[in-house]
Amino acid sequence: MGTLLRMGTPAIRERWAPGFLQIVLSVLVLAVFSAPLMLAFLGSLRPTGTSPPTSIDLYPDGADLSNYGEVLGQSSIRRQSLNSLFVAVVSVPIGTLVASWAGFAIARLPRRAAMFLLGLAVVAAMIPVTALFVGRLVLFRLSGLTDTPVPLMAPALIGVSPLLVLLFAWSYFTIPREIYDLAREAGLGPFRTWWHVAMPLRMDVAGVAAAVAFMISWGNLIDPLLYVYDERWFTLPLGLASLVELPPTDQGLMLAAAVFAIAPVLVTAFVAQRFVYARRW
Amino acid sequence: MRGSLVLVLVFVVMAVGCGAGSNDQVTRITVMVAGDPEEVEAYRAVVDAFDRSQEEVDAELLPFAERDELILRLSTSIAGGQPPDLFLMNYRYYGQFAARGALEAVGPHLRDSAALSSKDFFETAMTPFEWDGEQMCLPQNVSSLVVYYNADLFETAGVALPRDGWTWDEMVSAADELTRDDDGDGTPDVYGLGVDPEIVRIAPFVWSNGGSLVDDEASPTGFAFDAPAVVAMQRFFDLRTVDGVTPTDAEAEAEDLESRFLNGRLGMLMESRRVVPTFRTIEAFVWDVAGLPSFGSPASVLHSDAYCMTAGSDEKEAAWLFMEFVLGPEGQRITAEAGRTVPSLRSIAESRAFLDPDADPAHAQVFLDQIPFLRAVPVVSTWPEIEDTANGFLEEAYYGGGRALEVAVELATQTRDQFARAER
Repeated sequence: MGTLLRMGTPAIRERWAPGFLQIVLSVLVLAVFSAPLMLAFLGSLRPTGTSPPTSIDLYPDGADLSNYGEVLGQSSIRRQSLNSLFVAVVSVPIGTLVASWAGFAIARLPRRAAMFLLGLAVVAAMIPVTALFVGRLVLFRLSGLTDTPVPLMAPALIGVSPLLVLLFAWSYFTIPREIYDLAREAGLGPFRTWWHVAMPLRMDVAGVAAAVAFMISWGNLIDPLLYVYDERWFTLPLGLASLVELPPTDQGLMLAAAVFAIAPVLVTAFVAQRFVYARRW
Repeated sequence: MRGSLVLVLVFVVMAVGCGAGSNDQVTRITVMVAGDPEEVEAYRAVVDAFDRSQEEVDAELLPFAERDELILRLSTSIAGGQPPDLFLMNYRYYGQFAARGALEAVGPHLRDSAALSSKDFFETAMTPFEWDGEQMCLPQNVSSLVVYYNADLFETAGVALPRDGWTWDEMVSAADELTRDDDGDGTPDVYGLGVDPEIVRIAPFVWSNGGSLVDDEASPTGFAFDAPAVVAMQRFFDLRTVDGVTPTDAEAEAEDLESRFLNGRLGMLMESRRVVPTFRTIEAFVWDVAGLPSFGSPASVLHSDAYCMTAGSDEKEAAWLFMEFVLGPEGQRITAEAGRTVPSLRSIAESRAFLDPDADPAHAQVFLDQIPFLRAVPVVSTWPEIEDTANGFLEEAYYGGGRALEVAVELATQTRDQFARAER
């Protein structure tokens, strides 16, 4: 197996050395994209019950972290966060695994069949999500699952999103055919080829796919909105949505909840970028 | 392929595990509502009180933040065959569900009820919830558009407080005197008045001037703004572009009217009862409410939400039991004490629960005084679309100096198809 692994990895890894222009551009992009988060954080420091600002107010009077205490003190937010975490912990590994299997299967099919399935995945990715609302609800209702969190995890069984399947298929296509031939000659079946050859060679893709799956799961508002009939299984995006309607005097509380909800996504993005730069693409 | 078997097993176990634990002895019903966290807490208090009041039915609240979310969920669940038993909806929005036969008429339940009678409710709130001659839903509130005012700003400017039966001109004059530019930068720091340019805000002034919105109120086929309606609409537009007493588009976007009032930089604000809980947090100045000014005859517009029962509910008797409680004296008292609603039940509206002299606004009676003059916008299935279209044109004209006559013609033209598709 060691030989196979070495063959799929670039012999000499070039170190990525950013130039001055790249650094400046990166800082600019970072500034643009992090500005809303910074504003949300600064706004979250405004104590609840105080009048909203009349102009841009970067550092509110009486700024403190009390809103975070209040957000974490709300049993509904705590429960919704745990629900979101539970859903993500179950659906991310399953979704990544299924997407990886599907992508591998496509990559190993004869060219014509693979192209057909890739086309199908692209079409699936283009179907408006609204077109699936009623069909999915009927499916969950007939399965008796609407009082459970299972509808929130069910997309994991189809690889979370067709985009993840496409990502894996593309990555497995890039593994040289000779490696697959060697694996076959070594007597490996499809599953063992995936497990011992393809997956280890593309762990970086799996890492990125898992991060994307987490972000999709963590930020999923529509599925709990439509398919969960038991409030005890409401997830964090629904909790956040309810805070959007708070009066202007309580905006700090809503922003604190928003920052709290964004934090795991930031951590995930940080971890995922380690995978992205683990090898040259 | 053992992995896939394990996955399927995990899901099956979870599905069974998560669904277990329900008590078969108790009938469970689901109630969908939409509102901000404070409003939802008031509904939760009523639901909890209902659950404590008896042991046969367990009501569960399904709260949503915004009306659009509730409508999306409701539409999907009705189409998917699993609607909630009850939901709370404004009279302007329930028509789309009544038109497709998704509602159970509550009229027969009401006639057989020993706990509730139609005479107990304000008729003004009951009528818009009649569909095909049958009472379809039962109202929980009978709110209306009023004028909230900052009494301190009036005193500082030496302007007389709004009086009963005041006129449009008196309001504009007061707003003009309250509008002031303290730092001389050419932009007022305090505006006299704030009002959203929406059809439900303009409608009462059209009616007050003796005008009409539509050609036939019972079965409208289109907007039909007559001369008095156009005059009233023009005076409304003039507030921004001629009188200059209301914030500009950019100012309203930068700081919404409610925030501006809270910050003590708005003399008057036209709003419904919904802002009262937030305004009760005001400590910096004294505020109160007044009736709407008129062009001659007093008028205001109804804001009312009702509990509706779905035709697909499997537990209609239990759902009715819930309605009897939540719309009865006990339920309405709990809701009224949260401050957000004007009770639809006469006995509670006229009780201390609503007219509490220790709670702001001091003149809560204004809401009751307006009830005889309340009118409803047309109840048709496509009204939400019509309102969206109309509000877009009204906003553009209000901030951009549009002419009411042209807007009236444009509104009639642009909404013709929406009225043509309407069911009533």
